Amino acid sequence: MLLVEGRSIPLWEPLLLGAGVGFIAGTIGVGGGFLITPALALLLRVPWPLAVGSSLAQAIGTSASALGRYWRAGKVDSRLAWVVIGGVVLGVKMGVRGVVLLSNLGDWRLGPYRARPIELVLPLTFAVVLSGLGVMNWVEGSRSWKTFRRVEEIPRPWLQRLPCPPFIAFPASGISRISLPGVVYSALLVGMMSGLMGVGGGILLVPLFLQGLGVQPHTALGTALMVTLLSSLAGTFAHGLHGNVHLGLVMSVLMTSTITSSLGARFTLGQRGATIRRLLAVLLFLTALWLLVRVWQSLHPAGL
Amino acid sequence: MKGRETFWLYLLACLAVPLLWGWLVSALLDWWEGKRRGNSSSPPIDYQI
Repeated sequence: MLLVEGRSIPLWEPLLLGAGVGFIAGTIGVGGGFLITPALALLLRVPWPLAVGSSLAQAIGTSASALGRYWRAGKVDSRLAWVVIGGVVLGVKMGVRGVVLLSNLGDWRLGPYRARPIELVLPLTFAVVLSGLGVMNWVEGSRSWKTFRRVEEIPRPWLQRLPCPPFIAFPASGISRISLPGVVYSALLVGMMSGLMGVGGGILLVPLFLQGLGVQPHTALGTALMVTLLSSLAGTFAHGLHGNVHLGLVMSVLMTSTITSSLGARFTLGQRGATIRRLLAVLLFLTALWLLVRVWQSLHPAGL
Repeated sequence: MKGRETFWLYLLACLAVPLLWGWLVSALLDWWEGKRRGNSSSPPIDYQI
């Protein structure tokens, strides 16, 4: 049994959650925070700020475990990871401030209902962001490169077309020239969303690397895992200072997720890029739908 | 007035720090790579507008 904010949680619940989320996280190259945070808050009924902080802490273990496999396969662009990490960490810090501000606000009235701002804003942000990412990944995964007759017809990713100097190269990712401000400010935005949503950043970084920068799918996943690891360390520290990390919960989720995330990474390295994107899209749609249903269920009548 | 100044300073820092970090890290990595290979033929960053 685990005691979380005065409530007992059977140990098998976080262990089972860790096993499932770890495999999915390793498969799609993310820390798993985008699934762990809502699962902790809505399935195990952990308060949102604590779910956000604990999720970031567990992302350290999950991403480190999966990163090992990508690193050995040579699918990590460490230069790209180090360049974006500054913006991501700063953004995470700003997002964490947002969570603290939201949790200190009073109840909001929505017609005949009332809701706590943090219980409304965080899941809705999750649902909107995840649906958007789902659409992006589905479109990209379904687009066959055979539809382009010549290599020159393949559209260049939008960040590679941004004419904002200075420019930088990432040879390991096959990028010869890209705008440095474009890359670092996108990373700042990703970090802000990560801190606010309590995710390591992988779920947002993978589409940024794939669609924004034009990194190859496997390298995008491996590099996102390295950034996720570093940003989760920074996020956990920031949330820990506000007392939003439950170590018992984190350790029990990690006990199973570190093992299954490595298995997930091994499974993905044998798959095609388009298959990974479609898998990710389906998972994102399902999570967003589940969140919307739970937000609707969590509204209280204003009279009570 | 002081609060407004703090806000602008904070915003400026938030915009400057990631850019400086990215520039510094890439310059350091290029220098390190050049040192390892024994040449520094490729410039770290292309400033061409």
